[in-house]
Amino acid sequence: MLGAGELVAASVYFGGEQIRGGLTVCAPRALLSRATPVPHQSSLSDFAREIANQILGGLQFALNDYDIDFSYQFSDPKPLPQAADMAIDARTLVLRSVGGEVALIFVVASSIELGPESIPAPPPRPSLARGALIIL
Amino acid sequence: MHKKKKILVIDDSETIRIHLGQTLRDAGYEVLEAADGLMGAFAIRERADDIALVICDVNMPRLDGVEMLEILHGQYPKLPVLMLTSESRIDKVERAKRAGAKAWIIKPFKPELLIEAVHRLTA
Repeated sequence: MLGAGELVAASVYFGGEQIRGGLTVCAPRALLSRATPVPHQSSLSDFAREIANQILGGLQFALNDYDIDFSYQFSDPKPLPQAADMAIDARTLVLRSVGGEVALIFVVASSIELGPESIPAPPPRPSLARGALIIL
Repeated sequence: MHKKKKILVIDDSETIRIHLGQTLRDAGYEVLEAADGLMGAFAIRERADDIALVICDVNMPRLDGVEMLEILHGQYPKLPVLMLTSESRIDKVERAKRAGAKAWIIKPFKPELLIEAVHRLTA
């Protein structure tokens, strides 16, 4: 997985009443160098962290429909006693393209059962849209 | 000589600051940068009369963007603030609105949309 060469990784942590955990983005330096919108960027880990940040933003946006909420955390997470009804899971998703691979490593503690039978029909989506200008 | 309007970009991501800075400079603006809400608050207090617009992230270490606006609330009513963030929680949007934010864009964004918003807010 991810092939030869130097890898760059960055993590963002998140926490809420029903879900908490971390997302690590890991990719070859060469791939991130080609993908960054900033030419000759010195800190590719910053770019990887921004990718993780935006992926978590998408997750937060999708979970909003189910009244599931979390906040971002920037320091290393403090150990918390595990809630009795929380299950822990870790998954690695590898995105492959011609240019290389990106690994998304999720570690999640959650009391949510995201099976199709347990998911209620979402309420109408709030008037926010990703990438759109919202005048307040 | 035409004086360029100054825009303060507050974001903890160097990638976003550099990318936004280049996009805004290409569109004819001068750009100031701050790496979190605390540094952003200092920059606004020092240069509010000189700044045409603040573009601010929400989730940042030390002091987040909404908390920064709440601290500055009411002191700079003529200074428009655009929140540019991956944060989409309605409570955060409403808090930012109460604290004086004028617009909100959820990342990822298209540069042309951002420039359109900047033109609109600095007109």
